[in-house]
Amino acid sequence: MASTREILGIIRYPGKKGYVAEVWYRVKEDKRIRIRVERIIEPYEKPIEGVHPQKVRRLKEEALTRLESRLKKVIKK
Amino acid sequence: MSTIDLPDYTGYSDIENVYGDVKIYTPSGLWVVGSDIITARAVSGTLAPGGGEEDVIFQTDPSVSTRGRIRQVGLGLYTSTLTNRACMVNDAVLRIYLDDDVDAGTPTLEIWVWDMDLLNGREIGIRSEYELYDATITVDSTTCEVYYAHHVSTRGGLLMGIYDRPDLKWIASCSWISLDCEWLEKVKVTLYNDNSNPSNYLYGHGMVLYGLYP
Repeated sequence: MASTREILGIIRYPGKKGYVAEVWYRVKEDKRIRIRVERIIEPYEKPIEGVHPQKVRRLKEEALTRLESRLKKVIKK
Repeated sequence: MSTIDLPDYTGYSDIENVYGDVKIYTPSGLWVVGSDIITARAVSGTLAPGGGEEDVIFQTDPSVSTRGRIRQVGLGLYTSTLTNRACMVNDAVLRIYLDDDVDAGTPTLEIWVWDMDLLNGREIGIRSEYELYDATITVDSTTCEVYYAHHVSTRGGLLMGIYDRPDLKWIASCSWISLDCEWLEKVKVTLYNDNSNPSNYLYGHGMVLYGLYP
């Protein structure tokens, strides 16, 4: 069955264990359209719970940078 | 009293036994199968903005235009030490940026946790004015007052707060709000710290329930 997919939206948020991207796809199979999601988690280098706020910020920013480079590859597919 | 049978619009004589898909004509111009917009959730790890800073709870990627709706936001803010912390009610601001406001950096909507208490008739705030607390707790050798909301609005409110009366600051707050606000291209939700001192932090977690239009 022939199917095509297009990106419906990309959501990003700083999760508990890593920065998360959810890529939502609209998948078309013949006349039917389905939705599916691909979740990408870029782990923080260290846990962000219970550490100094400035360190939390740095860990999240670093994870976001890594996540963005991974996302670029996903979007190119 | 008489009963009138409605015409059979469905074409099925026994509606309970119909297992058909519901087709919806969506904003994208495509027919999709489903019954509602997608519901998803974004839960943040530690949020710890200093005074004048904001931390992202949830945002769309700018590379893809997306249409959706924020349904509900929950915030749990607290501290275990009484130094270098902002007020978890009066300094904690939920900021919603919709569409062009994301790039402009101007929040479309700003809601203080204090406002969420007001959604509930400012029950906790007013009770704290009269010291009508439910319990006390010792934090960092200081006796603090604990307030629980006895009644909660169906759209949100401040559910619980812990008040450090000697320092006139709330050291914990649990709040939520139903927003149902829609974005047409992009969105960002943040927690902003309205404290004037960058060394005074908010601390906690946030959750956003949202839906994308297929």
